[in-house]
Amino acid sequence: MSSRDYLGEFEHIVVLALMRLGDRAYGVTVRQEIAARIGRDVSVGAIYATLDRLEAKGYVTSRLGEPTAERGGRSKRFFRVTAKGVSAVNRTRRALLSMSEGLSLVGRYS
Amino acid sequence: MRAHLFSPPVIAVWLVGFFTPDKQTEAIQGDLLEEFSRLAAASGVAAARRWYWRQSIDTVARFMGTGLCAAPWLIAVAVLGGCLSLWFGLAWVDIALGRLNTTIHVHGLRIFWLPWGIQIGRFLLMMFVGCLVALAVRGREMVTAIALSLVCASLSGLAYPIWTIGHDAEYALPVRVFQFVSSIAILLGAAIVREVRFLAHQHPGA
Repeated sequence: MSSRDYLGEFEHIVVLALMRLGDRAYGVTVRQEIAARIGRDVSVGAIYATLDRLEAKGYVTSRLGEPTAERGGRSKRFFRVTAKGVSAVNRTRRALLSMSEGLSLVGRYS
Repeated sequence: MRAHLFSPPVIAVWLVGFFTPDKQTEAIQGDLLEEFSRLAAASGVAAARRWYWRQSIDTVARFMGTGLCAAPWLIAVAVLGGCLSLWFGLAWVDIALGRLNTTIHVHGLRIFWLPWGIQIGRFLLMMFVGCLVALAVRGREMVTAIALSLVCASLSGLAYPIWTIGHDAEYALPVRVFQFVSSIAILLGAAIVREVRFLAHQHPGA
């Protein structure tokens, strides 16, 4: 993957949610964190399709937890951001800040 | 494990199981069940079931889309390979059983089950090709099988007017309809491979 590879909007949101959640990050908590922070109700499929892509790029890793009764004996898959993922967040953030620097985003474009 | 008071729709659970990558299936089904149980207790089973269906369809559509976009050439090659295998295989079935048919006619006999015997042979062959194609595309078994069965069903429909020339009219339409439905055999073959892979992923030591 190129060092110029930036995160997409939703990828960015998901990685930030994983960073906030730390060791508690799995599908349900990521969905809840996004809903609580930005009021966006995202589907389970959207979360997992994005996590699958991020894992393929090496930005996150995952591990299976223990099976639990409330999940019908199925395990949770916990996700964690890698150093490469953190670099991608910083790169994307810097790019967005550079592009918006000096722009007045109030009133002018209404 | 504790039995659940409310159960999600079985077909939706089954769909998610077949159309998501084997690595993610357990976690996705678990997350859906966890939220379904919470929603069923808070808003009622009917609302929770509607939510489960919406989530399942969205999840299946997303993974089919990402499966196609992530490896379009692999899927195209697998579909082409599947078509060629079917073409050769079906030609072989037709030649072998056609010779038998000719021998029977030479002796003035007629076996009514022979056309259906050919169709059953075709059905089994299509299932076998479905298995082969699924083995070639790990994680995208069902997307590839759907693409191949759609191609086969379309070709089968298009070939009907040509096929009727020189064939026994008594069997022409029902046999062709059977061939059209046989495309499902490809999905069945791929589903078997998908299920075996999922079970192998869940129980690696078994």
